[in-house]
This record gives sequence, C-alpha cells and structure tokens, in this order.
Amino acid sequence: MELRSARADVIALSVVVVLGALFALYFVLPLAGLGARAASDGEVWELASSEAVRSALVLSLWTSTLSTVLAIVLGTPGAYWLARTNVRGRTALDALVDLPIVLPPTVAGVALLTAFGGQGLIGGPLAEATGIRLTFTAAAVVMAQFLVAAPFYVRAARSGFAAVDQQFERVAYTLGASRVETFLRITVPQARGALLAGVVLCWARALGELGATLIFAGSLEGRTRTMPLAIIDAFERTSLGLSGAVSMSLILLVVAFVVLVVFRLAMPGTSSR
Amino acid sequence: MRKTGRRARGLLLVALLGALLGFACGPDDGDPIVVSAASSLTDVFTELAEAFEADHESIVALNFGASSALAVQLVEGAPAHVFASANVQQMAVMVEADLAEDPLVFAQNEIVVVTPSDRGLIEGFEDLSSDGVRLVLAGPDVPIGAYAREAIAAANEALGGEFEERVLANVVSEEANVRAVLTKVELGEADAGIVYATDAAVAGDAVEAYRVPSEFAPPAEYVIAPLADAPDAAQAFVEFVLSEEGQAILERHGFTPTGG
Repeated sequence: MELRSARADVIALSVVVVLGALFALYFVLPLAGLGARAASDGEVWELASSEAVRSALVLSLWTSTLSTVLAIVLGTPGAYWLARTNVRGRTALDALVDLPIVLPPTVAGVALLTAFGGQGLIGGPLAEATGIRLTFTAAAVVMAQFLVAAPFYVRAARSGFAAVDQQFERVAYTLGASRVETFLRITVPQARGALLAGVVLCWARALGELGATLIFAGSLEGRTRTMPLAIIDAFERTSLGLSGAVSMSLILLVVAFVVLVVFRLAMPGTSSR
Repeated sequence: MRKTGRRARGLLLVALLGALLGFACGPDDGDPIVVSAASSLTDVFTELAEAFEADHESIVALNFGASSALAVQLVEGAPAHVFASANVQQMAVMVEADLAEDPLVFAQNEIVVVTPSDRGLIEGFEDLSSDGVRLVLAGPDVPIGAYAREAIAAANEALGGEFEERVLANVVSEEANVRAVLTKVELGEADAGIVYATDAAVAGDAVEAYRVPSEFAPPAEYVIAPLADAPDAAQAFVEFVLSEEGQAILERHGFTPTGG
C-alpha cells in the first residue's frame, strides 16, 4: 500500500516536472531564436546604433513613463473609491474598469479617433475652436497608452486597497490622524506590494502598446514611432529584412528587463506574491 | 437509468465535437491556392478570385498587404503560391531569393493625391508643399510610398523652391500600406495622402483626387508570378489574371490592362 502511494508520488512528480519544463522551454525558445539570429547577423548590431532606433527608444521610454504617472495620479482616487464603496452597480463599474484590458487595442484606437479625432466628439470642436489637432502627435501616443494601460494599475490598486485591514485606518482616525494622513501613512504602505505591481504592469503594457497607437497617433520617426511601431516598420521593410526587427526587439527586451530589475531593487516589496 | 443518461450525454458530446470538427474543416475542396497580393488589389483580386473559382476546381485564398510586407513574409517562409506586387522592386526581392521567376506585368495604375472632399486646402500635387498641410504617405519600401517619394523628388527640379524638402516636412505619418493612407484621409485626420487612382475610386465621394502629373509619376506597374513549388492551379490563376476575362475585370476596377 505504502509502496504504491510512493510510486504514485514519483509519477505525479515527474509529470509536474515535465509540464514545468515544457512551459519554461516555450518561453526560452523565442528568446534563444532572437539571440541566435543576432549572433549570426552582423547587421543587427549596426542597426542597433541607428538614429531611428535611438529616437524610438527615447520616445517609448518617456511616453510609457508619463502614461504610468498619469495612471497613478488619475487612477488612485478611483481605485480607492472602488475598493471601499458599496454603491449599487459596483459590479458593472468594476467590469467597466476592466473593459480596456479585454478590449483589443485596435478597438481602443478606433474609439479614440471617434472621441478625439479631427471629426470626433471632442476632437472636432477642439480643432475648430483652437486649431489643435491631437492625432499624429506625441500626446496621441500617451493617450493611446494611457487608455490601454491605466486599467492594469487601477485593477491592482483596487485589490490592494480592498485587502487593507480597515481596523488600522479606524485606529488612526481615533488617534486623531486626518483622512489624508491615514491614507498616506496607513493605507498606501499596506497596499504597497499591490500598488507597485500595478505600476509595473501598467508601464509594461504602455511600453508594448501598438494597435491603438498605430490607429490614433500614426507612425513617424522621432514623433510618434515608439519601439513597437518601429519594429513593425522595420519588419515590413524589405531593405532591412528581419535584421532591423530583431535588433530592435533585442534592445527593447534588454531595456525592459533592466528597468524592471532596477525598479525592483529601488522599490523593495515589488512582488506579486 | 442514470448510467444510460450519462452515456447519452457522452454520445451527444462526441457528436457535437465531431460536428464542430467537420465544420472547422469545411467541405474538402483540396488545398486552396494562396495568393499574396498588394493592398491596392484588394477589391479587384477578390472579384478575380470569385470569377476564377466559378470555372475552376480550385479555391483561392487571398492575403493582402503592402507588397514589401508580403515580400518579407514570403522570404521568411510564409506559404503562398502566387505573388502580385505593386512594383517591380518587391518582385525582384522574390526573384533574388529564388522564390519566383519570369514575373509578368499585368496592369498599370495612376498615382493621385487625395484630400478629404470637405477640406479645400489642396487643389493639386503642387499644393503639397503648402504650410500646415498634414500629409500622410506609405512607408518608403511600400510601393506607393516609393512611387510617391520618387514623384516628389522628380518634381523638385521642376517646381523648385525646395519643393521636396517642404513636402517631406509636411509628412505627419508613414502608414503600413496604401489602404491605411486612404483611411487616414477618408476620416479627415490627414489633409492629404498619395494613393493609386483605383483606391481613390473605392473611397468615392469621401475624397477628392488629383492626378500627379505624369512627367513626375509614370504609371505604377503591377507584376505577378507563381512562387517556387506552387501547384499547377497557381499557374492557371496567373494565366487567368492575364486572360481577356481577367484583364476586363481589372479594367472595370480602373486599372490599365497590359497583359493578354
């Protein structure tokens, strides 16, 4: 009997190990592919130092960072409210916040056009009154990223705030702390892990944004062509072949990895655990 | 009783799965001929494929995109049997990679400037250098993007006044293919774009089209070839495009037939 259960354990363990290894392999292989292509293709390194890549990287970094800052500033109050409210229709509100997450980014791009485009709800009157047109500008890039990425932060922050024990907040109030003080010194530190995870998710999503940006902001080197757009552009150029796309993909991977590591070191407690 | 119920449910599930599988596979008409064609051929090749299927046994599967993007896909091993390119250069990429040989010119197209019909900012190719024109072009390797840049460069000598520099400074976006350029103009996001005459015709009243003077822009040339290891049906499709019937369909869509 004992022997049999031990054997079952061995079988279960080997199944788990094989599944885990298959899973890991699937994620390692595409990276290995990029690396192998870069190692065998000298052009990849030459292209990496081009002006097109530099300007795309700079644009990607500042727009994704700005989108994330906007998500924190504009998203935190709503996330806190959603975590604490018992208002009717909360489920619908929660779903509404999550909607951009499940929405294909191309839909977000078309939706942005209908609202902020030259003929859009707001964009039309804005263009007429001030002559300001948002499409094809860096502002449009940030708007596209913000729309698809901010919900990731709000979602994480909402769960984080909801998990905070309200007893601590009540104790702080009875000790004479103001609401703002309590929020900053009790609630935020307790939700820290979730908030930081939300920031990372939001930034990563903004960095990878492609579909909404292409539709709403267009693609022009130095102005609206972020790294994902530059990769698509390079991929579709026969004059560069795959080398340009490989080169930029590697750079984006390395930069994203370094940023995430630095962020985790600078902000201990960044973990989804 | 319970047992039979479970069994019946199991059978039902199997039947459902079978039906789904059958649906997914569809009727067995053999493998389709996969045709990779330039974006500007979207409407006319859809009709050509239907006409071809009507008197042949084969099914045609169409894949549209910028000829340059298609060329990259094909060189990287995308499975296709026929390539129809909007310029000679992208077909040359195929020939160089030993994927195609002896391509044939099957149609020509005019290059036009399109502008939203309510804008009134531009009344011809020369106006593209005006201040504040939001111009959209296709990328430099996309055939229409290459034709557009060649025309702008050619006009520079004739129109002077740093025409080329000023027009290129007006570019607000480089789109992935000609239909994306057209859409940005149709929506009124861009003040002007450069596309083919046939695309402008597809957009109808939404856009105003002005021909780029022929001394700056000779007609665009479309080339077609079966790809390496393609089945015989692929050759038949190429022949159909070049046939009298195929050429008539092209002409009806505004292309200038050159084959036959």
